[in-house]
Amino acid sequence: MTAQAAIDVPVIPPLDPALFVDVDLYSQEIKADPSPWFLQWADKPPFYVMIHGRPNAVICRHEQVKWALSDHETISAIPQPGWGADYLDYFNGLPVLLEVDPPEHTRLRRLMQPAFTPRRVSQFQLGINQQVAALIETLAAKNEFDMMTEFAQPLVYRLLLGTVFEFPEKDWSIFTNLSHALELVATVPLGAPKPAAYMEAFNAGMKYCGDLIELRRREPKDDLISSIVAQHDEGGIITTEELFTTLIQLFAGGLGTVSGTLGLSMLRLCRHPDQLKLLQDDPSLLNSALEECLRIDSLGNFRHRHVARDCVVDGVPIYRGMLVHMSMGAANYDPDFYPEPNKFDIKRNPRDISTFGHGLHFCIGNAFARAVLRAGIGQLVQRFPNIRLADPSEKIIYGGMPTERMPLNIKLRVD
Amino acid sequence: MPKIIYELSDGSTRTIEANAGDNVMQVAMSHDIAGILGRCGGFCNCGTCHVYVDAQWADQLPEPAFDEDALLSESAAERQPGSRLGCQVIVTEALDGITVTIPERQEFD
Ligand code: HEM
Ligand code: FES
Repeated sequence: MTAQAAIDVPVIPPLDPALFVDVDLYSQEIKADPSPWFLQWADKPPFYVMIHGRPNAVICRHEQVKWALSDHETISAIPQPGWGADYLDYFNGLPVLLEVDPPEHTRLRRLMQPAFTPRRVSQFQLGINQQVAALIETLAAKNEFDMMTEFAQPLVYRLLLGTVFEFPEKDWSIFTNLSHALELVATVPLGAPKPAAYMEAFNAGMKYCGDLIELRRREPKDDLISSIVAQHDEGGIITTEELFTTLIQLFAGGLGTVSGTLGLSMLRLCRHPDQLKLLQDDPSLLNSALEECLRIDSLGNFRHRHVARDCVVDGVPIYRGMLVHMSMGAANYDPDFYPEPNKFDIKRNPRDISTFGHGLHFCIGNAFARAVLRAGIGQLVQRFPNIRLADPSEKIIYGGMPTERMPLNIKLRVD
Repeated sequence: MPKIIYELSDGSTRTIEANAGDNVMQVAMSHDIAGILGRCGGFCNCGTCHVYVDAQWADQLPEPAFDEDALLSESAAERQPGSRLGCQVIVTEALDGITVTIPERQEFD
């Protein structure tokens, strides 16, 4: 978005230098293993960091993260130009669910909620199980494979684009290109135009959605797209931009997160062979094991919001115009909720984890994500009793959004 | 202090003293009562705090609002006449003794 004459960038009052921490929240070190930081922060009041020349507050305690994620009048989801989050404008200014407050949020969320309720997800379960089983059979022929590029990513593409959206395979690249392009956003300098590859992918997606609306109006089907179109049309005719916005946020919200979490969970289990063995010997531990994987390895280290009015959190002043990073990852290490937080214990069955957020913006796809994790991890560990890291000393590289821990290379052996 | 009586799916019962203004999901979570997940934290956004309110109490509650009604229709356990989302049931002195049964599931697996 272009800055307008009337933009309002509040001047932040002087902040206590003692409350600043000199740390790069987006560093490869934090992505690779955030636990030393989380252990330090999870029982402490908020602190400040400088990002792109502006002070940000970082909130880490379980209760405080939950508060910050749910008090939208104080901590708003609506981005304000010049407040320091322009580099996180993944969606080119589209009115996505994640970036609106009530009442607009309530309206938009209602349009999407029906697609991912527990009951709806249960209807996908058979398809999910079959896709996982089919993919595993192709891998069984090999002794070694990459968890990310040969299992998690193709699986989640297939599930979202095929099983959920029911798009023909020939059209999938429109969305896969777009999802790669989203990562380019954070790489351009502040104020610079979006990268050309991003705009190209964006426009291709927009065009596809326009055509899709036409097609479904001509030939209605009993599928998710038709139901989204119908939900919108009740309150006025759906625009191309609205359908595109809905699909891109479901897709972008689901693709990397689910495949990344599959990777992190498998990696965690392989690095703790005793816990892996426990799960293999007692498959009834699967749900508890996955909750523990989700707790200890939250794909998102942080989510950000915009401070709409001054507040004080645990003695730390946070001013209007600042950005807040709420650490879901650290909240999952709060020792008041999770004793010995650094211990990976698949019998812990942790409750109230923050991995999927909290409150108004609580992840719409969480039941779907859990269903995919159950099928993916459950089947891998049972089908391959000897599943292990091909080379435990191999360095895992992390990509994804700056705030995410997306593992890119996890080589497994299964012979 | 209004009491909430939870009937668990294993047949056991837990009675908890709550404060007026608390909701049935939050009280269950803070007392480690099994079978209520409350994943979204009480924002009518997940449908994993489903309970069956006993008929004598169900009639005294305000009707479910739009979002609660929509989630109940899609819940993992069957919707019954007393079905409510626990996070939307606020206890008051008048509801002292409210009895809720926890369904056998909140999610599919
Ligand atoms: C393990 C996988 C996943 C993780 C870790 C995850 C994480 C999250 C988190 C932390 C939020 C809240 C963000 C905030 O409050 O700022 C969120 C929201 C959201 N997620 Fe997920 N997610 C996952 C899977 C999915 C899937 C499969 C979908 C859809 C297919 C999805 C779609 C969304 C959407 C649309 C929102 C915005 C909800 C709103 O603003 O009301 N997510 N997710
Ligand atoms: S706790 Fe999520 S709907 Fe009640």
